[in-house]
Amino acid sequence: MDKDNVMKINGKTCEFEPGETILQVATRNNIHIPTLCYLKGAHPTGACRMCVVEVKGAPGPIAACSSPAAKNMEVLTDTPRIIDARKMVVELLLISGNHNCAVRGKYPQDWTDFQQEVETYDRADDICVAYGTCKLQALAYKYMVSERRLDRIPTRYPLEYDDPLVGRDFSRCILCGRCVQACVDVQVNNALSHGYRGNIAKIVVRGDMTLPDSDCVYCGECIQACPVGSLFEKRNRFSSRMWDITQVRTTCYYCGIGCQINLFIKENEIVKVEGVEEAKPNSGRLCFKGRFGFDFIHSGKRLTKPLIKKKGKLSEASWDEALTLIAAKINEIKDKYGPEALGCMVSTKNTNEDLFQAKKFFNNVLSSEQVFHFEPAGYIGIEYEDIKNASTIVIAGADLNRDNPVAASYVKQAVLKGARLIVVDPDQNELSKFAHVRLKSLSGLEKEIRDGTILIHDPDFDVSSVNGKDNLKIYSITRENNTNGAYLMGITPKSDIDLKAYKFIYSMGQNIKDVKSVDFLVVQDVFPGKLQEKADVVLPAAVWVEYDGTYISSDYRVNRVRKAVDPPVEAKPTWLIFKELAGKMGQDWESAREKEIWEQEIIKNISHLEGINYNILAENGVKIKEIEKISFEKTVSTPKGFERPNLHKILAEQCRDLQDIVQKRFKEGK
Amino acid sequence: MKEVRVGLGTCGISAGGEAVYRELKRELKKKKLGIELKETGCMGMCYEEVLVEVLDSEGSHLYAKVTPDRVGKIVDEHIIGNKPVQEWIVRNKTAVDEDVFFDRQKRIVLRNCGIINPASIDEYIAHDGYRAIQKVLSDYSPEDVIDMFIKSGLRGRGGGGFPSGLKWKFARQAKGDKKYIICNADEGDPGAFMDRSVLEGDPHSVLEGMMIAAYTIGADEAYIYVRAEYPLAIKRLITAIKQCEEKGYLGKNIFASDKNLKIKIKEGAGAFVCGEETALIASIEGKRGVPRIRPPFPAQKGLWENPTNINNVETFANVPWIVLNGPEAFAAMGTEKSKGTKVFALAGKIARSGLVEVPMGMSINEIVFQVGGGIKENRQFKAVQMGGPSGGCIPADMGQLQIDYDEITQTGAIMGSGGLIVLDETTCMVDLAKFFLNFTQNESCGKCTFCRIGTKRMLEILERITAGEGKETDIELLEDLAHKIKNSSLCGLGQTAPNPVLTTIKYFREEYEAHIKEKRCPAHNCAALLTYHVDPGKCTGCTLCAKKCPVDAISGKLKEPHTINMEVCIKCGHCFDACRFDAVEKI
Ligand SMILES: Cc1cc2nc3c(=O)[nH]c(=O)nc-3n(C[C@H](O)[C@H](O)[C@H](O)COP(=O)(O)O)c2cc1C
Ligand code: SF4
Ligand code: SF4
Ligand code: SF4
Ligand code: FES
Repeated sequence: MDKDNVMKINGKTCEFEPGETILQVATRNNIHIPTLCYLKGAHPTGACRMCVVEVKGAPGPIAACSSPAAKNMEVLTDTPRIIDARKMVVELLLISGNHNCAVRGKYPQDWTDFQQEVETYDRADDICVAYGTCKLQALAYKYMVSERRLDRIPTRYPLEYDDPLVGRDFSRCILCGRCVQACVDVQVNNALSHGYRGNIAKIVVRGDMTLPDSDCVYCGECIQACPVGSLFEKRNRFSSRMWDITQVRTTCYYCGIGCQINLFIKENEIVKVEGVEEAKPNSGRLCFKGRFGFDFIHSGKRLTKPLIKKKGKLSEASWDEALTLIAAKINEIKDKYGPEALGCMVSTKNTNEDLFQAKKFFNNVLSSEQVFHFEPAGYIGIEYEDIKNASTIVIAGADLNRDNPVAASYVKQAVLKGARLIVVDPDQNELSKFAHVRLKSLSGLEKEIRDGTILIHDPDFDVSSVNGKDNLKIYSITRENNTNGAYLMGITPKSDIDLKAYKFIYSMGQNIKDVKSVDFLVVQDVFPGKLQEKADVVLPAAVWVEYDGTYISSDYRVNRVRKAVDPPVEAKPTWLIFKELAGKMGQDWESAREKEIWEQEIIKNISHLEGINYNILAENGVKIKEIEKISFEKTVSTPKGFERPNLHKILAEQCRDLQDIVQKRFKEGK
Repeated sequence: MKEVRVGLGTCGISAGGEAVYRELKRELKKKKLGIELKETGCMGMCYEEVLVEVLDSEGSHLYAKVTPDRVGKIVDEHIIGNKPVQEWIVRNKTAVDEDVFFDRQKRIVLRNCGIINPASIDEYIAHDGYRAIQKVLSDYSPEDVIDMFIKSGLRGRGGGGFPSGLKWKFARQAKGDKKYIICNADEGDPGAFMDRSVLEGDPHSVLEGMMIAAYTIGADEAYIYVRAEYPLAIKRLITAIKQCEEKGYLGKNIFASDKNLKIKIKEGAGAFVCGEETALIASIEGKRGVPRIRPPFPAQKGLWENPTNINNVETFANVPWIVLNGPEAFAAMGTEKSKGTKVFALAGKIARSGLVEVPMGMSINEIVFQVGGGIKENRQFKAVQMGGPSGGCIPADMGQLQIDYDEITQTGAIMGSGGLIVLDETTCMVDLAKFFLNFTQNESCGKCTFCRIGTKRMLEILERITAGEGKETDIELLEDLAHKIKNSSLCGLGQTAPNPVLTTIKYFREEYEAHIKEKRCPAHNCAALLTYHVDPGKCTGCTLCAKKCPVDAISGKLKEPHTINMEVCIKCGHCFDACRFDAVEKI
């Protein structure tokens, strides 16, 4: 044991790494020190003074969150003097605003006065949104702070409620600064800052305006960071209390990063989404889509029943009817044109289980190899947080700020840490605001490359000209959440097919421009859409929060998705549709649940996934084995007649209620 | 050959010094006297401004309270007629009137202030200027300089009193190719003007001190952070830096050595907390001027994350003197742990207010009664408040106390940067504490809980005590808040903000109790606790008070004793001031 790196906390000998803070060492050793302003992953500010501890030899209490551990340091975390100081912190914070959750009302007769007081001062006479989850309330409870020795400070700033998504209640802000850190240090969106000084200090957006007029991109990081009820999402404000809620851990479905999220579920409805703090790849952060883009799931416009075209018109039918019809048509067309006339255009948003079933159905039941998509694969060979250590980052065509904001946040953090940023094809790329060098094309790149350079390109951006350089690592992030999963399930792009060769097509919501030559078209989708007008059968699909499964993200991590709510009426998960269809075709597939498909079939057949069962995936995702041996398509061209989904358009449709904001943020159509 | 000097520091200018200067110039020119007229910095006797010094064969004659219309007589009688106008002179060979003011002082920092023309580098050079840096460059290694300053015992004059030699050593040892020197000229204490006077009166001595420090730690870039409210100091600094650059004292290869040094001026926006070193650094970096946690200390990670040494103006001004006179000469002055001298801005109820520089170890009584000439209007000496809003009060019965960092800290006050306010029996100690707390509370950056919310709450308690609404538990509550704010605040502002309250409670608890329990202000200062009353025995019925009363609360017939209707009285005190027979009393 290196004696230089040893200290004592509450008498326990603890080792530490140089540079670690007292708080980090204590936490690792299961010694709890309360904090309020400390935000993991940001530079500690030492603002709230909640984490004070006693250090032998120091004249006064020391903030553990921001003080480095030192050789032979002796720390006591809970002496009477320290408890007393913490009580005072809580007491001061409670009187500093409208903390009317009754923790400070000791005398029952005070309640009415107190309520009146609240009303006159605050214009916000409701009980706090954070009741029950508030860190200040929890600390008041823990330290039994209920005294009323001091008068409450009248609230200076009114509630701000004119933003469509976020409410800001300054009467409850404890000025811990976590929101500013989340915005400036973590997401690097630089919308929030500290304004004014002393006891009139306030968290402001540029020039003390309101959120809609600011640089805010609605990543919502600040809301998640706020320990009290000062920042909140408006739409769940009066609808859900913490005891109504169950949380379900899952994976975001919007892009190839695979952010880990917790869904807050109340009565079969998602009311809120939070990033999972302790999990890779996102360590708690999320983007606008991931945090707010779930309203469509509960939309009344969803497809809920199978539709069959009768006399040129789509009308409701039973599943049995629909599947029987499809099976019959398949047999008919197969007999007439052979199996290769049967095609399936998958969506790489689906789970591995879904895709595996589709592939199995076409390969094994129909003897057709025609299962395809047109998505290039992606490859992120490092942890996202290690982007921060790159010496130079080259962004080639990838509009990360728009398409993969969480990855963009790591890139921007790297720039703050001193990395050089080079943006190739910088027009319209918001990251070029942070760039040191802007290049029109890759041709001038050579001289900028140094050790530790990484290049992140758009999946559609051709980087073959710089491929193979020793000191350059080339990465890309898939457009869709499970494209890499599709590859691993054996579904790869087909660039050289002819639309006219297909007489039967099963489309998973994928658009096809001209289907005149197709005899029978099945469209499975979530919402009504244009292609469905030409379909012979429309099948209502369940979405990713409605059943179990797995995704494989761009960094080749297998992540679980979990059922959180029931699908509407008769919508079914894709994997189940294919199982039932196989049944109609006379094949009885054994696996009856997602877990069985994964564990009995997928991981047994695909060596890269060997052993990665649901149990192992119970919490965090797991990287797949022997990534280097996987070959994937870097550039894909979409054959005539087929079309790749316009993600921004889909997003705008899915987030209908948030459309204004979506349009502002994603400049739809561009 | 005669020479005439006019003190044109900010104090001299605000007393009308420029008009006197213009008049002198006109007179001397009109009478074709060919006598040198010089502007200098503050001479220290701010209570006697405008000061004009005439040097003749007999030596120096210091004229006080000079006005433009006195100029003619001085020129005619003294300069032409060689007969000094003795009645206006406060100091020369024959007039010993104000001698103690100077004789008890020891001028190291202020050695050139009021003597040389601060806008002239040649005069600075003629007074041994820039010899110290040249000596250092040719004869000493950086380590030698560090040894010299450790030996001298010089401690930082910005308030903290950290040994300067040691600080330089840390910055010297810190790893890094790029290092910075910063001169802290933010001087935010209300009423303090030591640093301003030095910058206005002798800017080159500060630049020279910075050059020596830069050589010692290995810095090639330096900043002077000076508050924007000091336009004259900024002007003098700009001139001085330009002169140095022209002479090759700043820039590349300074003094023909292989060292480079660039000094830049950064104007501060005026927040008190920006004087705190980490906030100051953030402010220079263009960020919000808010303190951050230390460690890392600036010596390790300062300006733009580079090792940085930051010292106060007065600290730097000491430096050339120590090099030229040797650390022993410096260490010979003062007490065991506090060496050299300290500049104070004497203010308050003292006969001679102004800028003084006294050797460490002098007692408070000596400063008050000898240098300062005692209390105004022969009132009773009650206490001194040292260290401005971060300091505390020391009662008169501790007047034997020596000027020494550690002894003063023992009392609960601090040496601070040199504010010294003298208080007499008309000062209410609760009100005094309130005044300072109001200041710090306003100046809190608002970052940390204790300081942002705690000081505000303390202020409110003091407000209610002085308003006669204090509660029995208030003193205890104040102490509880004060101790915690002091212990657990993030930066020096919060950590020292309760000092004025704690020291006044410690030494004048009975005054707090009188306010709270008896609803009485012993100093007759807190308006809410006063009643005005006419002593019928003294009242002559002159009616003056009744005429002055803005609310007609006073009634009475001519030549008959008057009475005040307390229901109507708004306690403005006009009657008290108006009465020529001392018949109006405050109770
Ligand atoms: C709130 C606060 C205000 C300060 N203001 C000043 C100031 O105006 N001038 C100054 O020289 N030091 C000031 N200081 C002290 C500086 O932080 C720093 O210690 C000093 O400049 C170091 O110089 P020295 O070692 O020469 O004293 C202040 C400290 C605090 C906590
Ligand atoms: S809004 Fe919330 S996170 Fe931001 S400073 Fe206030 S309490 Fe902290
Ligand atoms: S960055 Fe991608 S995975 Fe993460 S929350 Fe946003 S859309 Fe979802
Ligand atoms: S003690 Fe006061 S001035 Fe210092 S950081 Fe805290 S709030 Fe700001
Ligand atoms: S958690 Fe350490 S000061 Fe706030």
